[in-house]
Amino acid sequence: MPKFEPVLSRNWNDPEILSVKRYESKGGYAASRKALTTMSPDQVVDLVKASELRGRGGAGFPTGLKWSFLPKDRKETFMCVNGDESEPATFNNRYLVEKDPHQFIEGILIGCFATRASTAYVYLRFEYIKAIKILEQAIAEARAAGHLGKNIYGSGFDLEIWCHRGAGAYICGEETGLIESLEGKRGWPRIKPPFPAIEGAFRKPTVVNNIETLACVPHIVERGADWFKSMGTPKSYGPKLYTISGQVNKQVCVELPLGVTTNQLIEEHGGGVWKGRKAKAAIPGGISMGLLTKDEFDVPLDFEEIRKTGCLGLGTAAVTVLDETTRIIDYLYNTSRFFAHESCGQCTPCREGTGWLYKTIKRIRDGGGRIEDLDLMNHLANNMGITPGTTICGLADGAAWPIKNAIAKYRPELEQFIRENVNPAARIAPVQEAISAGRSPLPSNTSMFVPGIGIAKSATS
Amino acid sequence: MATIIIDGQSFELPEGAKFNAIQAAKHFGIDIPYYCWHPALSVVANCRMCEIEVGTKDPATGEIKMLPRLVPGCQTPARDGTVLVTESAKVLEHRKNIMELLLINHPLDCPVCDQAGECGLQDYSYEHGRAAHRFVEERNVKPKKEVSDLIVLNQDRCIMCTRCVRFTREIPGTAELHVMRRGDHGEIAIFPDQPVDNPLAGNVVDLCPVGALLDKDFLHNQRVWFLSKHDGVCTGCSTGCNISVEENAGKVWRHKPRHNPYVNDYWICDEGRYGYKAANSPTLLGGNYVLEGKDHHGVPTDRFVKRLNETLTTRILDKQSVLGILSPYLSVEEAFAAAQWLASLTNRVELALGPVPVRGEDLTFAPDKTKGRSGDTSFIVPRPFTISAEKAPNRAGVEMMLDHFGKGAVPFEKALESVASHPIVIVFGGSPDESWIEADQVAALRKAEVLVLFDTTINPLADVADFVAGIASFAEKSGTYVNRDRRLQRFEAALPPREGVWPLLDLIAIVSGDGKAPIRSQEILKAAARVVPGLAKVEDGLVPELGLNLDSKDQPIPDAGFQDDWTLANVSTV
Amino acid sequence: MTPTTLPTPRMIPDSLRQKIESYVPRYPNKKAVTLPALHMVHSHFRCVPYQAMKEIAEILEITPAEVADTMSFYGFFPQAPLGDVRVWICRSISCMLRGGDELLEHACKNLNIEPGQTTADGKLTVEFAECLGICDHAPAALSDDGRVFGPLDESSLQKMLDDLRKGPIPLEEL
Ligand SMILES: Cc1cc2nc3c(=O)[nH]c(=O)nc-3n(C[C@H](O)[C@H](O)[C@H](O)COP(=O)(O)O)c2cc1C
Ligand code: SF4
Ligand code: SF4
Ligand code: FES
Repeated sequence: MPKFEPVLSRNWNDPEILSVKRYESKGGYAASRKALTTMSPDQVVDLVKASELRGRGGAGFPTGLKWSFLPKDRKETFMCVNGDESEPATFNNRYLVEKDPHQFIEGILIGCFATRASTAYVYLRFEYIKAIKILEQAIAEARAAGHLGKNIYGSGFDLEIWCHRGAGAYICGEETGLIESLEGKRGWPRIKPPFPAIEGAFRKPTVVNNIETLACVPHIVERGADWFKSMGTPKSYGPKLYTISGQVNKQVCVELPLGVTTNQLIEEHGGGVWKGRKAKAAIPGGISMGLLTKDEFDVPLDFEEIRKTGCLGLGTAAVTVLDETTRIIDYLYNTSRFFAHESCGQCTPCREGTGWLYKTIKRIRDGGGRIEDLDLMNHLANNMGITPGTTICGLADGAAWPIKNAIAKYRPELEQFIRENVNPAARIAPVQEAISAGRSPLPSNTSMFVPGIGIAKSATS
Repeated sequence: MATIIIDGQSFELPEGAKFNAIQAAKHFGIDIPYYCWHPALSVVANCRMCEIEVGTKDPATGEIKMLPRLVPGCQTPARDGTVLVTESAKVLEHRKNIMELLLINHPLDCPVCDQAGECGLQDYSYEHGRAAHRFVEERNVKPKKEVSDLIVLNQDRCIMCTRCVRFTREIPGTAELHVMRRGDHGEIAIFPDQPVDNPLAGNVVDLCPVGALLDKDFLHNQRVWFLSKHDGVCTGCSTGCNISVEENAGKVWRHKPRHNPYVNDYWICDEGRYGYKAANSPTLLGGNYVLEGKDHHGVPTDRFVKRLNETLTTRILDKQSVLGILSPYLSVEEAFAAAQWLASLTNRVELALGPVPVRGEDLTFAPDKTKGRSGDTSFIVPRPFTISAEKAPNRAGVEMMLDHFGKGAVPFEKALESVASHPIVIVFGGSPDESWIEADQVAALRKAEVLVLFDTTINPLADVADFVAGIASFAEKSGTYVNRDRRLQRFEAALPPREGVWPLLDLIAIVSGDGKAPIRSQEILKAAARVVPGLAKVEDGLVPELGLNLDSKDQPIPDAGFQDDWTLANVSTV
Repeated sequence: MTPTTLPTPRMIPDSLRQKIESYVPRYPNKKAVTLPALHMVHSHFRCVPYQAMKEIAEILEITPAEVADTMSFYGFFPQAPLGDVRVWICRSISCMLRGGDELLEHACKNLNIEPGQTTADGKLTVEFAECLGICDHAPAALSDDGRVFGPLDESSLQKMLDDLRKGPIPLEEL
């Protein structure tokens, strides 16, 4: 295999690249000029289709295909750039904005031209204070240099880019949650259909794309679909920004062709597991994905192969390493706490399920667990999410996956933990046990409850 | 013809129906449980109770393809070839799961909850719940709060369906309610000092599928299964909202809306809602009275009728003429019977319309689909709701009788001027409001030599009339009204007439000596239809459930008649 | 429970109001300015009082309840007044694996506050956060002037707290 030349990160060690001049001097905005002045929007869409670029935001949906879903007769289109980046352990979008904002702006410009969107909103999480500052400055410079505004390059195409700050809600990364948030509402995802391409922001056809997805586009325009497909593994082409964090020596963001392995990442880029320890497991792409056991570290981290391990997918390609001393129960405690905190609360299975799972896992961790709790957790996890069809969005799948995945892969460890960690103070309250067993928690003469349901009918009629 | 397959059976969808799976199934008698969906509000699919298995049948090959995952029925359009499975093991198991999840943080306080008996949670628990509780963790505790002077919110009972929030945003458009925080700490709330005070506010209580939003006016007054429900029509204005008048132990306890897509859809205004109080008013007339000297003396009906008839006969033989005043609160039948009786007394009779109260301007709430949550809105048929400025139920119906028996609708002010030429004045009232007549009007009428009043309340005119007959109140009578759109609507008596008081129809039958009480209002309507041209459509005396437009043909409304099951729970027989 | 009818003096100054209004042309409707407006009001007052929410509602032609709906959904807008600097200590997976939970506890103990509270001198508010997107610094912290701290240990945490108590830095220095 030829040595991989960085694509998205090629300018990252050049601090001057933040200026539009410098970016132009290195060949920047040539691709956007090419697209706008020599290609039609549909030709750009076809090119991106041919490159088989898949969305980098988590779902891996083919970008060109998504663009082609827009209704042909549309009058107005919006582009929403997804920079909410809240999946724990993920920070590659931040690098893209902070270290080479014009590459990203150029990507937006071409993406908007292809989809005929003349307004783009970049939804950035508020925590990216520095990135927002850099991006706003870069947008102003790009505008002054004629890459944005009216009649760009004399092509007749207009574009304005606005930065929209989030306010601390993971769910606003979900595309319709993002759109609701952009519209000034709570970030409650919408039911689909209608999909954003048909009715999105402000009830108009809308494209939602991740920052990294768009950053790939100028390179595809410049160097062609075949070049793009020369990198990666089947059905997973192109360069990818992987992040490595957790219990490794070096926590970094590196660009590699899609399909590297966890072992490669840890050993070649993460400086090995920290404190001289061995690895126990790794999260392949944000905590929603589940766990790769040590034995699965040679599976290519791409859109297809990783699913075969029982993980949800590649997600954000944010690899988090757990060393041999880390307890699975602590990992579950952390993930379930996250999802209970971030569930938007719309769908019953997610709202109640994430809270229930967190409380149960906390009780187990505190020493009040029962073996049957694992089955209960499994049952709850199996019945929440868009996979079984019981929720509006995929957050619930992400909440369920670590749990069912860990129970499948680490059940013996969890059972052992439950047996060996008994803390009377953490035991289930007797009143709850009574209700659960179908006994009334009240003295019998006041009982008005039907077992299990706790609702009086006979007593009151 | 569009065919839909539900649980293996094929059904033809009605023409023009834009049903979702829940409506379609219901149309063919199959229940799909749901909470968050409401036929008049945007679809959000957040409760997940209504999930079913969905597929399509290929018209060419007849092959059925099912989706691999469950799908909410509320967001599934019923189209030609749609296949629904509502009773599979997977669906039933899912319902158990949802019921369990909805109850984990729900208090076990049905014995003290006002909603018990008409609660969506209670109902579905029996049908779809799981026998054993698996939740052993601590429950979230949430507060009780007031969202208006009249509405209390028990947050711990709320299932976050957001019906109430969507209602205030999509129907009155006032958006006073909102969701606060997120996840399982979410709550419904108002902005401090900005209560839910739009004219339709009370509807949020009806919409709430559980005992979260409750009407303080009704709170702890009655267990709902002791209430008997009677189909009524609100007399608060000329819109004629369809209501359920709910009574027990001789008192009306509340008004609830009844769905009628041609009139009020699912709503009533607060004025109509609390209008029930007039039915229990202590100022209702308790019998028949004759003025002797300065005082009214109560007399039994037979003696009252005898004295009234003697007086009238003598004077009419004396060729004295009669001015009859019919109030817009009379039913069609009452107005017919009254006018017919007056006409039978003498041909020297003039008929006029009683005062028609008008307040402010018509207030129309026209829901705008685009104001609702974005998403699929194709199932929603936004229907405007109007609160009429004309505060009486039956001006149109009474006018028809005046047209037929008299010289048209002589307005009240004009009638007052002609009191001088009519020594006998006979007034048929019926307003629940004691102040329906003003002092100067009373004085003008009192100029008559004989002043007869049939009415429901002790009011300024009753204070001076020579003959005062108490008659059945709006809650004690049956009949029909004609609303502002000329829709004839039937209402039932909710209470028996008060002790010592007759319904006007019976009283007229007794006074005119040609009928045997009790009189059925339907018979009078039939009789009226035979002679009054505008009523020809009801010659059999039967009025359809949703009423009948007297002038034009109704456009069929395929989604009519859908109502939350739990509110219909007929528990009065328990 | 009658609505307050007393005329309350305006709290959003004209300059800020104009800044909010200047965002209106960016979006097809005014409501979309809710989040930007909340941010602007927050940076001005370092909290969003009810009166300000009412005024935002008035500017954007929506109801105060709609503003509250949006605001309360997000973790960013505090109900209680903040210290001069607000710092988030991350508790999500990468930071947790490297001691984030303990650092949060440590910081709070040190300052004698609970997570979410402000020090008695009003200088510093310490909160937990879910992943801040700075896992390359895990265990990490972020202050609301934009400074990123980490990887932290007990001593660098102490240094961070001391630094933060000196007050915020201007955006230009970031
Ligand atoms: C709970 C949840 C959170 C998400 N968070 C993000 C995010 O932070 N950033 C992102 O780009 N996509 C996120 N997504 C995926 C988006 O919904 C959407 O698929 C993506 O932005 C599309 O862009 P792409 O096609 O370029 O990947 C999230 C999805 C879910 C279900
Ligand atoms: S699945 Fe969870 S996060 Fe997604 S919409 Fe439903 S409740 Fe909200
Ligand atoms: S208060 Fe009632 S109507 Fe409103 S969200 Fe809660 S359960 Fe639904
Ligand atoms: S009624 Fe369909 S999800 Fe609530």
